[in-house]
Amino acid sequence: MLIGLSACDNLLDLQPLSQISQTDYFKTETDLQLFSNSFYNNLLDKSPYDNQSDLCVQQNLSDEMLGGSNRTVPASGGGWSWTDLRKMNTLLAYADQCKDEAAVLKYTALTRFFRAFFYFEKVKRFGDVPWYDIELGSADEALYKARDSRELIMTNMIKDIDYAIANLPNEKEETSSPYRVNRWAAMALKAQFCLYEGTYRKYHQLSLEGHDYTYYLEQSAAAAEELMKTGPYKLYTTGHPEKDYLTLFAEENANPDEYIFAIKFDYGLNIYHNATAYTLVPTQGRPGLTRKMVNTYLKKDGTAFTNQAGWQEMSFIDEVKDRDPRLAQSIRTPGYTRIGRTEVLAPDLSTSITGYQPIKFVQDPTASGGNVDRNDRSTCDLPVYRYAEVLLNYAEAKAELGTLTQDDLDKSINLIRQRVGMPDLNMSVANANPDRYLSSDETGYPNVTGANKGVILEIRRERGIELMQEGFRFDDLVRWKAGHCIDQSISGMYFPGPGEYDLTGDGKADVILYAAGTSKPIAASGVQVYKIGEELILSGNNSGYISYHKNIERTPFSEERDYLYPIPTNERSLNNNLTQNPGWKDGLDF
Amino acid sequence: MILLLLLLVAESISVLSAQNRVVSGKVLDTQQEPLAGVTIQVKGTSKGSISKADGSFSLQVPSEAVELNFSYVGYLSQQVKVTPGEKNITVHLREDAILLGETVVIGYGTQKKVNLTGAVATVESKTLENRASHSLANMLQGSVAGLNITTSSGVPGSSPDINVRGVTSINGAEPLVLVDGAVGDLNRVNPNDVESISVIKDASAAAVYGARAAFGVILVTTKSGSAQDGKATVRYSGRIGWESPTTSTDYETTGYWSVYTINKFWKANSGTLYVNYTDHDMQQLLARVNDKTENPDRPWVVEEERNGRKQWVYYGNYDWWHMQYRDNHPVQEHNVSISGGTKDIKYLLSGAYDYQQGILKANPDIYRKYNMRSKIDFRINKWTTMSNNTSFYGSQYTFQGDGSVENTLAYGARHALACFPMKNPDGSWLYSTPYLNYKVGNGRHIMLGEGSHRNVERASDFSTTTRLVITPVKPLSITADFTYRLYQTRNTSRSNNMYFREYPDAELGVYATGAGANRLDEAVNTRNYYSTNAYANYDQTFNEVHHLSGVVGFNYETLKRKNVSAYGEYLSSTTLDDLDLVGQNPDGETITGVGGGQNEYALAGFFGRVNYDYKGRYLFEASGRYDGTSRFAKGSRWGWFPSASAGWRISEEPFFKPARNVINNLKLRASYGSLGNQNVSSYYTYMRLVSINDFAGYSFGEGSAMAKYSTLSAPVASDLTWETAQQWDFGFDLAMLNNRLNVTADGYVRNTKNMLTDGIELPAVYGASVPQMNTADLRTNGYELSVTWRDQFTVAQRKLEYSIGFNVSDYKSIITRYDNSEKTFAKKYYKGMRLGEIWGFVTDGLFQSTEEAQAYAKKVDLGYINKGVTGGWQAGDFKFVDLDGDNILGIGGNTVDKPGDRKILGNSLPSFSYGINASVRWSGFDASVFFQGTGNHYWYPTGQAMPFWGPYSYPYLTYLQKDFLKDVWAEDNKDAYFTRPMAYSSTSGPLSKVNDRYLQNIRYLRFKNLTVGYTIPASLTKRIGIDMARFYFSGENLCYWSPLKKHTKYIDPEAAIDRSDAYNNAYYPWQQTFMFGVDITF
Repeated sequence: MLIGLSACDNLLDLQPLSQISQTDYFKTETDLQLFSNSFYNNLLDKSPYDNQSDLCVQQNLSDEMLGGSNRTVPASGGGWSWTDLRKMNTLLAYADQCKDEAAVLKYTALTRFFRAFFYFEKVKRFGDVPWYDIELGSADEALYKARDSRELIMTNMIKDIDYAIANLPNEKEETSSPYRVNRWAAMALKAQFCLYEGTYRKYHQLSLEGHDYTYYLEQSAAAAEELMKTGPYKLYTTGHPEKDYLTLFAEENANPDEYIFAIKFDYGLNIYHNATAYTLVPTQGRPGLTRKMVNTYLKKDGTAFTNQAGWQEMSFIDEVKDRDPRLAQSIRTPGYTRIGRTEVLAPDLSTSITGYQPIKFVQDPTASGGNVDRNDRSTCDLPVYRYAEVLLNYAEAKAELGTLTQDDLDKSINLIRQRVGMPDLNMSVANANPDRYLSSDETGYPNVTGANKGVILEIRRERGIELMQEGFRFDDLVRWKAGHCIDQSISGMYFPGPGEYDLTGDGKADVILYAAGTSKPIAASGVQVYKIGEELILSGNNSGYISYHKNIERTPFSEERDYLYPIPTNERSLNNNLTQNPGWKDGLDF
Repeated sequence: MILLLLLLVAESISVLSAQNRVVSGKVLDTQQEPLAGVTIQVKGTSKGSISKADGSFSLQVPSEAVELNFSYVGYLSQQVKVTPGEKNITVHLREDAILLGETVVIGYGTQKKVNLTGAVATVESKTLENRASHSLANMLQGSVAGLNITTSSGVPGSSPDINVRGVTSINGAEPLVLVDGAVGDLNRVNPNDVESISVIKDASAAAVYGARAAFGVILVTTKSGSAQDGKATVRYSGRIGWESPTTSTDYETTGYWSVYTINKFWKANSGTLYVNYTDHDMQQLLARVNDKTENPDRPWVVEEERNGRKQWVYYGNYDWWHMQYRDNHPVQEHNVSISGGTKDIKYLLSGAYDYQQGILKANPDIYRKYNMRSKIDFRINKWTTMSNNTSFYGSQYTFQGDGSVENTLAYGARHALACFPMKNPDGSWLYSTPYLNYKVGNGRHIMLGEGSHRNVERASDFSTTTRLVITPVKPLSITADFTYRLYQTRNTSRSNNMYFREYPDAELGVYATGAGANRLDEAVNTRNYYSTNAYANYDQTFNEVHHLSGVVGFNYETLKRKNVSAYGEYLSSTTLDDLDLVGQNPDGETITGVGGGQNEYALAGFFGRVNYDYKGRYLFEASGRYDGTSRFAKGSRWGWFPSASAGWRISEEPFFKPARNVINNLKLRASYGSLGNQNVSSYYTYMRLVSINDFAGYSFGEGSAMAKYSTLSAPVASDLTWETAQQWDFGFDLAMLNNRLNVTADGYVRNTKNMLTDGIELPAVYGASVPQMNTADLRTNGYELSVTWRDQFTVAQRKLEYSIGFNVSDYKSIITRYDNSEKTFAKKYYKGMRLGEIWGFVTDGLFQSTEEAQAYAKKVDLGYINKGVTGGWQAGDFKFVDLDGDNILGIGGNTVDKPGDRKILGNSLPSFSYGINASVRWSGFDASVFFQGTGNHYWYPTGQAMPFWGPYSYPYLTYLQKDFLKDVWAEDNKDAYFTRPMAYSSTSGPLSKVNDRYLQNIRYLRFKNLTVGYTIPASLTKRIGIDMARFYFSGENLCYWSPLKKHTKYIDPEAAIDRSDAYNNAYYPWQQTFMFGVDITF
């Protein structure tokens, strides 16, 4: 009987046939690489171009834009996901099963880069969050701990990122492409999150035990400066200020000079994003830059558009004349043609909700086998970090610190301006006469003060323009404590009344508007005809700015609530030590 | 046909004329007690009579010698010859020994029904015959108390969910199904092959199956050939009919009301229009609102120049449901069997073919099922028999669509408003239009219409068992068997580019990614199953009073599963589906992928059972099994599952004799046992495994394939072991009034211990699925009662037999251990929780004025539920009651003790399941009806359940309820059921908060089956060599009554279940079946 039993027991000893057990894994560089690959796919934002903000909106406003009761506390989810952190801590715990010490170092550094990346997202969203650097057990007390101060998180993030900077491959060639993280990407991340933290604390007047905001601004400036000094990157230019900016984003492959870290898209592999169709197909959101945004583009001579007479009620043709060349490389303006085509295209008011129709990331129509205009068929690589952002971060950190010099501007902002043929930003001129438009309650940031007020406003202008559609704006508003910008008017092109309008500058009508109650005008083929108040909503009865959203109920941004997102209800129920962020009603009475 | 039948009847009841005399007498039972109601019939005539209360009878008979037939339910019929001179006779009828000796199949043996001490219910083949249902499992619904069968899908060939005695475990275990002793599948058995089904409900009877029997065992025994001197019996049964949905398909088909309603809801949410139609357009729609067909003066599609382009404007009244789906679709079934044998060789061969067309219209979905079985028994010598039982099952479901037919229905249920046609006037498909930010019908109508998205789901199942039975000495028999089963699923799924036109002057657009890619997927999943049993049975009676029987044995089985899958894109042909046709993409690359995976498990067990009875009066049984499984780690692998039961046949006691007139049999039963459940989710639950995967869409620009990544499975607890179900059962079996009334009742308590649960819910910072642990207990209390009444009497001098039966069961399950001391709702369970309880808010009608609403909102903070309440609280919103009086509407501490403003509103588990059947048989005619239903149970419709919520869910639904606005609150419709229009209210707004106002009671009573048949008298059919010929009609799921009907005629109460995500949008309708059949034996 006993022999029978033990024989049976052996029959029942079955081992997995198509999977590897944990103890046999993490042994080679390939194992570490495969295990860390999912961090890229899971954490990177693959559609930064469609974020909505006060600078660029869609037909249907996001919950953040609508505010009030459109933003609620979720029961679960809501960004409170920690799966990837666990994977990172697992890798860090098991990496030394691998005998290849160089590989251990490299993938430990890579993983710590992503841990800093992960926590940056968490801090941006929730403020204080719990810090974990071990694989948690199911009985761990730490599961139920209260939130750690953002000071602790930031301190640990700096430790992680410094380790990454020290140990990640330092030659671009070693990683062979901008699609894998190298030490320069780690410096870019450090410059980014330290700037975020420094400005957040400065504007929210947050003083925590530990470091003050200047420490973070200094860290940011130092990281950016190190990258600028020692890194192999430069701005992409072919000496064509009228098109280099646009070309950069529409190129099939990430530009290795400027893109420090990018996401690969590939027609052959069917890996796509939707940026092209997003701006071209009327069912994809109908994005448009806001009038407020368009107004911030300087005149070509470096003076503010909003300082000239009559700027408020200019026709489209007139207002876009002689502006910062990036305007014509960000939206359709007279003479616009698709890359690779010669047909002049007018802004399509049925595809762009403000009339200011974006063109960034719009590819050559022959891309993607000629299918690029179809939904989800864009293949140009998307930037995660690019050199221009580092330069902007550097200038802003220095300006906010009060240590900015003209020399700093010349090696950062002014390089960006030179690429597009704009005159240099002069610090003393800017500070002598801070821009009214950018500091007004209605259109700007009234909370910027101090000696550098003028230059800070200009840096913000530059940042808004240069990083348009790259996913930065909402976070910028949060760290600048500028939530009220969300409430500023959302409007578009100006139309003085019914009539025919030329938007391409060829003297022929592209758009005909007619008033309700009048008969629909006969129009030539290709001419857009809209009934005012019904098909095209203007701010006035029969004239004014396109104001598609004027009848949509929006609740003002809540200064007390909306800078942070809520913790999901279930998580607070499971861990009563988690406090809710201020102002959020999750129905719980504790 | 009917005329022919009538003629046959007329002939059969034509009376022979003769001279008459009277014969009288008495009918008594063996105890000399008179029998009332015995049918007496003169053989060869239709003359007859019935005995009176004192057993006396008298009837007129011809003067020559006659034979009288005495028949009575529960007694053996008796023929008595009456000589010409005889006038007075006394007849003694004996109780039907077969009835008493009826045997029941139990684990590794059979037992006399009267001696059963466990709770075992049987279903005879008669019950299953003629049911116009396609699967055996469906036929069992409602036929056994405590066997709960719930239909989970209306898709042809889908299998229902089965459980014995309610919620078995929070892991939802299913009963073990054995077909002729080998693990099988109820849906793959040919119902015509079934001899009997035993449903083992309690622990004692199931104990010999140990680790898999915790939640009941269903033993299916198939028919065998019988010794009939070599004569073969051939039976053919076939039927043909049609199916149609059980619920309404009458949706809004006028463009005007469709656009009007949906725009109204859309606008309430976003302030914009969903269909960008102007007032002019709406007037055009209104002008056509009564046009059933297109009026040449008012075309349904108008070509106009707008925004600088030629455009099609759509003003139609299209019925999207009936353009794509049909209500009536044909079904047929054919069965042939041949059986026979001699003393030494018996055989049975059977084959069946089942053909069903589904609801898809342009390219119908078709389900085909094939069954074959061959059974042969050889008697090798005096003490050895060998048998082989081989069966084959094959099925094939072909359908058009993306992924699954349910998926196709669900995604097609959006964005196709009645104003839109499927095709533009130029014949191109409509998919994208400038008036819509979405895609019409998500393009699913193109797939269905083009026939370009071909899917085939094939399953085959081959099983062969060879068994040797040796009987060396009389009371002992030794059985050894070996079963091999090979079953496989093979799925093919093809998609193709879809072309459409957006503007009259535009080029054809193409939908070429995702569901529109030119791609072929093939997957094969093969399972090899081996099992072997060896056991010895012993059965002996000593001194005529001590009866001892028992079995000991060994069982081993193992299953290996292997998957292979592959896909390729850019096929060179759009009509042929083979991976050899995979071509290259425009970059010259070949896009293919492969997948694999295999795993296995093994089980071994030693089992035994001993039965003893004294004079058939005191019955004892003890059994047990020592079971091991590969699914747990060494050390936690083996378990011992004992049980015992006892019975007392009071009716056999001498003191009971006086009562035996009334009560023919009364047995009390009690049992206790402990069983295991090894059905944990994975075959290697105790190990953490690394998998290597391809990204769905990520590349590092290295090489021409997707990048790979590895993942580690969630943490595990190393000491996982069985769930154990300990079950008490008390019951009685009662037969009375001459066996006409039979009652069986059982009560039980089942404690499911150490349930494997996702441990405790952990905060998300844990970052992985929570490891499973044996950490929860559940107690289920329940009862079952079944009552049958059978009797017969004479109508128009012919015997009329009838029966009526009723069964009912109910249960209640309570969590008795769970790691949630704070009783928070953030964890799934808590100690003391009754399974299925629904917590929600209490409401107090709709605000009838905005002042009232605002005043209330001022008093009570409604911030928790105001998502999507645009324009603030106003008339037509509904009033949530501040139950705890704290002036904040909320969820308090989110615990049972501090639930905020919520309370228990009902329970989602059916409270009272019942079945009622009745049948009558007379002069060749037979009829039966079967009803089935449940008592109160509740359902809060999922937010995405469009057939219930309409545009309160996703507002752009295709299948808008007809006249929906009459249920929508408006100033002139203040008594409406629903609130003011509010898109997304049920998915994320106030309607998504479970509340009493919209909680649905989904109890139902279903007219499950009606069968009417006529058997042509054998005397006629024999002339043409036919032993039996019967024609019948059978209808399944004929109608239902349910409170749910009050609020929606589009959801069958049995379909009121929460499906995964989008699948709630629309579902494949549950079907009713109407069939005409013939059954011929010769």
